[in-house]
Amino acid sequence: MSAAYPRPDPVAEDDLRFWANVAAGELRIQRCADCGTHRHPPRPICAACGSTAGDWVPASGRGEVWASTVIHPPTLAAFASRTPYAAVVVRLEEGVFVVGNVVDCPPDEVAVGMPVEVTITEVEPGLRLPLFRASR
Amino acid sequence: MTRAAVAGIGQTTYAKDMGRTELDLACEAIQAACEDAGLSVTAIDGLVSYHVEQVAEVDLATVLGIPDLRLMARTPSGGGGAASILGIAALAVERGVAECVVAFRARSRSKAASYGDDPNEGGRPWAKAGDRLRDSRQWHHPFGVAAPAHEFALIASRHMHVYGTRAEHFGMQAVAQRFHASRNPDAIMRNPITLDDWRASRPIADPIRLFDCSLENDGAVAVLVTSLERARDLRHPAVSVLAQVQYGAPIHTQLCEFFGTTAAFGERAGGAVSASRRLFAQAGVTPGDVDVALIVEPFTIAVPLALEQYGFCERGAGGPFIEGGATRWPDGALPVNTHGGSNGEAFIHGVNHLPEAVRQLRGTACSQVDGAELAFVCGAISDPSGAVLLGADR
Ligand SMILES: [Zn+2]
Repeated sequence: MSAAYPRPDPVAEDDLRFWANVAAGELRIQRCADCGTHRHPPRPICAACGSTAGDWVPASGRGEVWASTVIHPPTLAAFASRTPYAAVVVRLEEGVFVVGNVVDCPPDEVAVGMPVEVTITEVEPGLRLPLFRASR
Repeated sequence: MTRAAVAGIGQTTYAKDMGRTELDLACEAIQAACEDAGLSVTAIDGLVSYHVEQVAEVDLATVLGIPDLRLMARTPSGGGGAASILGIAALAVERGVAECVVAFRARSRSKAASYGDDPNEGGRPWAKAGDRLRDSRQWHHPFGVAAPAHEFALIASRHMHVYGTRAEHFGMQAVAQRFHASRNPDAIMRNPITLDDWRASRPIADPIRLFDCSLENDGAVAVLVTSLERARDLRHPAVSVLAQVQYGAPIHTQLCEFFGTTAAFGERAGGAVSASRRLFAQAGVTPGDVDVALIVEPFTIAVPLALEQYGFCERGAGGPFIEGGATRWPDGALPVNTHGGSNGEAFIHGVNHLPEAVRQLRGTACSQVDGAELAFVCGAISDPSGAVLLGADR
């Protein structure tokens, strides 16, 4: 039995919105209503133009593994029984970067440059995370 | 303008689980720095450290009997500030705000040394994050990315992909530093290793192996900065602060932003690449003039990144630079971390690199670079960070 997952428990409104979308099965990211620049992690201001007007748009979910590692012990208690596991940084088509894991793929086959797509996955009861799998 | 100089260096023993408070360790290192300079602790009128430093200025003033503190400052994040704390001390002296400023760091880092629930109260910060994530950890921890090793491994993987850097390049730097440490009686790791030993050390987060990692230990370091004029009258040859820079790049603990700005490898105004130009222009020298480099490296990957971004080699050439032996004392063109660095001497959050630069310029290092006149020190490259150039006063 693994320790419970570390759970996002934010207080910032934008963070709450992101995770509520994921809980509803959607990966949405913020897009500036004035200049169209996407941003992630969520935040109230567009760094490109200073605008506070933004929309939550559905991400395509497609991207490329930008960086990748296979993690061995020691690590967080929740992941101790899962080692070795792969962790990645994915560059989404929209140009933003997200940290994640690649499912349905042996850890040592996850590689930088690999095309992936998002899969919202319930990792334990009541917790859905945006994970990735190799694009078909 | 008054020129600033380092006049004193002090450090405690470095060891695992020393069973002493960080205040106690800090006091010992600061007293040692004053003793080294030949000054009373009552002469101290400024204190600079990291924002994560748990030893409060007010406690040092009370415990050490510092009567007249005129300058207190902190740098952002962690090991990125290793050179900047010296730089800020020098700024205060140059400006006349204070005359005798101590930059210090005290650390209970070993697992067993954790003394409180706060992530910065000893031990491993990431292991104390809890399972309800409020801050930027919410973007990393649910995916099992928590320790600095995980973050640096991801950065390293990108460097390997873009430039063809190999994990062995990091291993070669680990071997060089452990060789340097084997010659340093103050080092925790006194036995040298081979590249095969590095290959046999357990993987932490690919490509990072155990021997690439900074040690987990306790200890403290202090350096005393005063005017060059005053330093010339003190116990040891003065070491001038020739130039300093800081830069506010994103940090490895926020990987989405880190990769978003591509600051990882410096392709961005505002990172180490542009800071380096300012640094060398200030001193009127070039990277080729540097005799010895102290590069703060939470993991050995930080060494090639810094070598490239500060202009000691071409972008992407850090691995081959190490492979060619350039960073290894005594024959390398640019010996790096001659005290043994964070994986050999000790991990004092990078601040133990400062006294080694001073020893090199005094001519008293264990692995002395012959005739060293110009030393470079930079904080951890993947933080808000900075660098200093120090010169022998000859
Ligand atoms: Zn905008």
